[in-house]
Amino acid sequence: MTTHAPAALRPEIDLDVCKGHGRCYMTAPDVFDCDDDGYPVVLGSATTSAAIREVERAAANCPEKAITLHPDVR
Amino acid sequence: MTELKDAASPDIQVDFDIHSPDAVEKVYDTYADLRSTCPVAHSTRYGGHFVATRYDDIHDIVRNPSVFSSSQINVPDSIGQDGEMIPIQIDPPDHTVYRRLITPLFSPKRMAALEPQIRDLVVRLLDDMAGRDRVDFIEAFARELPSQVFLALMGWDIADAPRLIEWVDTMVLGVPGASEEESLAAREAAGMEVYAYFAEMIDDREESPRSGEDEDEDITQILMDGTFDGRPLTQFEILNILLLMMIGGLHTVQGQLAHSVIYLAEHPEARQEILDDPDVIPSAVEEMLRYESAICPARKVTQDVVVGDVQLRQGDVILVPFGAANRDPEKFPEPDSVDLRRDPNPHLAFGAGNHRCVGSHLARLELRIAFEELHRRFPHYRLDPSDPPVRHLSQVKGVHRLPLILGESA
Repeated sequence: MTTHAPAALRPEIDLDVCKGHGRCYMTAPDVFDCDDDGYPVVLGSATTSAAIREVERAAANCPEKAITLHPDVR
Repeated sequence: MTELKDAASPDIQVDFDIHSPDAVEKVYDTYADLRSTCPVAHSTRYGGHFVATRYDDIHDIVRNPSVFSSSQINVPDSIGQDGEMIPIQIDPPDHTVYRRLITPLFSPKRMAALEPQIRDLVVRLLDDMAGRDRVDFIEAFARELPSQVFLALMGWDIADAPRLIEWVDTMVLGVPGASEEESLAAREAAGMEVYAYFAEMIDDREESPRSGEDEDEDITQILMDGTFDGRPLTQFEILNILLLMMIGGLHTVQGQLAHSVIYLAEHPEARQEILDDPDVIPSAVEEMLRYESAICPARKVTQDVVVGDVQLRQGDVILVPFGAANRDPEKFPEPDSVDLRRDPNPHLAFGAGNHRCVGSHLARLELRIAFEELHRRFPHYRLDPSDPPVRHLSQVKGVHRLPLILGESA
């Protein structure tokens, strides 16, 4: 049996945990934007391999561990 | 089950003095020793306090404000402030209300708009260094940039920078080597001068307000027009918000700039990486923030709680050095080596939890622009072996003097 990397990843941000460090939208600007106060906004799922790598890096760099990644099966 | 230790246990007692002038050169070794032998240690200094050194413990502590209160963030308790510095010494729920007002003032979008102005200040300081073959980087650049940026944000006269710098130095450092009483007296005297200066700035503004015109609306005006739960902020509140912005914004960036330049002067291969690929700068900024994290706040325990295998009791004080968290090998492989492309790098240089440094987006911007312009202008520099940098510890680690030889590499 082989495992495959998911075709897409959907990030979810726990906004009670997020404190607006901004590491996610600095790391993965195609997936996250920031609102006027500096809190992140999810733009959508990461669907390309480059975007998937970016969103995984964003989650790993979050100092609050506020980002969860879900396999996006469509 | 192992028995819990507490403040009186002989095997967790250490002679750790965060203000000792002798502690700075070996502080990361000290943290490493503590982390491997006694990750929650107890020092008898300043009336007794704990010191945490593991990333996970420090991370848990700063994200749990109901048990670890910010009512005391300094050891000893006072740096010369009158009342609490706002919002860093305020716990939820009031903290949340203050932060709702203050966080947007330092948002990434607001800060990004300042980029041309900050770049201009940076270039001017570097222009003044041109033609010299040696400079004190602190005097010529690292001390000037954050204080000029602070004054510009407040809408005050940039020529006041030297006074602010001296006050902040005294409040942060006390009188190194002097008695606790002498340090406190000096800090309180500096604090009084700071409040008098701020009050004068507010009075001036009352006479000639700058409300309503976006271009002119600076932080002073926004605070004077600001509200807490619908009522105007009092002058006392405004003073203690301004004090924190000044304490938080000046010494920290100065130290970070200086520590980065010391590292890059001593490691020409890392400097070359920046020269070859300036796109590495944002990641290099993060790595230098991890490698030299200035801030070591305290927290006051509100109810009995266990950290690691140590029992803390209500009223206890614990230091949480971010510099210790960020060198924890459990979290960062080869923590004492710099990797300008380190990834992941979830460092705690700006803290975590509710009190996450509100100025982090500004600090990053200042650091990035300074790295870019400094290396464009002065690709080669080295330390002077006969006149080495002078560093200090305290709760904001920093650098007093940084003689640099320009135009040569180590």
